Amino acid sequence: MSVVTVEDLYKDYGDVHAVDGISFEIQEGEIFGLLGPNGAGKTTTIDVLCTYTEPTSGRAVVAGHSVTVEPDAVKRAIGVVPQEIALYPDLNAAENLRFYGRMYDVPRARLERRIPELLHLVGLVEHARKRVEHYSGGMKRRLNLAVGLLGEPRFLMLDEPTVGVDPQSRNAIFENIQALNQEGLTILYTTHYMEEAELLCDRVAIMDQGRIIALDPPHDLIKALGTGIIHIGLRDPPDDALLGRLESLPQIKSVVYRDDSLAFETVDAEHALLGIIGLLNETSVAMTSLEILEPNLESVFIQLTGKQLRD
Amino acid sequence: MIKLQYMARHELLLLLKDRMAVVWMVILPLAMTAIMGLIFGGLGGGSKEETGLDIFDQVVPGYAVMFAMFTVLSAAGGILEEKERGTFKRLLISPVPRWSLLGGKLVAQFLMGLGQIVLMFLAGALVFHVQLGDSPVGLLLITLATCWATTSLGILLVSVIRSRKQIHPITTLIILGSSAIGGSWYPLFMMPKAVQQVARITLVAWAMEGYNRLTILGGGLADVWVDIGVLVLYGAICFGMGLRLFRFKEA
Repeated sequence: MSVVTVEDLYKDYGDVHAVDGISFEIQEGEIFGLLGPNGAGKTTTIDVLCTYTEPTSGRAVVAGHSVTVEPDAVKRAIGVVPQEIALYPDLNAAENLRFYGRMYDVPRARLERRIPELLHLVGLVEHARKRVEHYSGGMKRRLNLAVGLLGEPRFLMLDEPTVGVDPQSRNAIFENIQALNQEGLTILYTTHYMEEAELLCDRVAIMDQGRIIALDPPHDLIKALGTGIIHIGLRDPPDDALLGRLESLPQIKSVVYRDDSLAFETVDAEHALLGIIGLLNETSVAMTSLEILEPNLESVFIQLTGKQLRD
Repeated sequence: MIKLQYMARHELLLLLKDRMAVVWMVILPLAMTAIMGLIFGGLGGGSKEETGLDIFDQVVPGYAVMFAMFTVLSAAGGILEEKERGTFKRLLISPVPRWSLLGGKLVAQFLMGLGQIVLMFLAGALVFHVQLGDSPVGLLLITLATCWATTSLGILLVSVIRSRKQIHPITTLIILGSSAIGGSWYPLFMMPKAVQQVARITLVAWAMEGYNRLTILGGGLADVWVDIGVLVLYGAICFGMGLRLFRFKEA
């Protein structure tokens, strides 16, 4: 059963197509990743799904309710952990949770039980009475997550929840997310960190310039790439004959020339490399750099878009 | 409605938690009142016994209005701070009706202004022996009208300015300017006619005229209903424009 259905979704801001025609479904109990660089359209997608922004066109249904027709029903079914630390720095953790809990209509008695539960979950029990302004970045992020869980949502959206976080807090957040998912919570997770998407997500949609350019389980995305990417910088552009000969070498699935370098997709990077170097030597082509990329989502992204994921 | 109450209580809680609030709302206004009273108390010629007038009869309501404006307009500026911090967005995507969200904040701002004026008059009566006149109802109504007008001015300013960096300098300028010409620092009726005319565009002038008539001149409700009416109207215009121009989301 799908918890989220997005069909042909567009969102324009003036001339900018922030979301440029995307479709996907998120199944119940799934951790679905949206992976892409800053400005790819991840936050805009979340803004539409949480009813903050109206789509320019297309359809989005969350927990059985259309975001445009029944925004209130959507709001009650979801939890959102925004990219910003949306907390009151002058209040302590319990006070922040109490205030947002009331805004989410959590009955008073249940709220008073829920607050310690959530503080325990995110490991802030000892700091419950401390003002949030004195928290570390990681503690703020953890409380930010707890606030998103107040309304006991069946679908949780997390927008880059680990930005600026120490490794310990990051692990704690991962463990929280995995534990919540085990209990049946469906999760949408956006990030520009490859390792996070690989580690956490059942399926990953790679976004770039408002579009989804690939959507599969991380393992399949990587497998489709072969086992290695090789980048070789050249002083002069190669001619078509050379490109043809390179492509016909064993172990090589494809080769393209862009940004002054050759990008090879290979079956086996090590074996392919020998052949490539041999051929380039033979034809006296001058190399300026050589790079072998590990087969991971990062190399998938570079291969798909021709650019780095991180700034 | 219940959420509007929560929202308002939350705003008041935030004020209590703000360590600087006690400085801005209590220590500074009272200290300035005392200092101004002591400096200028001896300059007016005759003592209180001779004229029946005391410098504090002017300074206390004057600073009450000025600091109420500071309190209310800085709380209004807090809306822009919340927008920047992301808490405003988080509330917009929670199941809170928009009017409860904004309404709760406005109710809290109104109460903060009211608290500020009441505090100043209490201190004025107990510490500085200010005369409160013979019309408590008049005093109450002019105070409520002043808080309404100030709160409404706040939502208008927040809607027009929209930038957190600009709001504090601009509101400070407006408060100091209108306090100077509106009679917060010096009685309006003792100013040149031209200044008195210009001062009519400020809410301070109407509030101070009302307070002066009730306290210094010992007038009754009948003497200040115009001032009250103008303040209510002033508030209604600012409120209407403010709500019309207010943006819940930044485009």
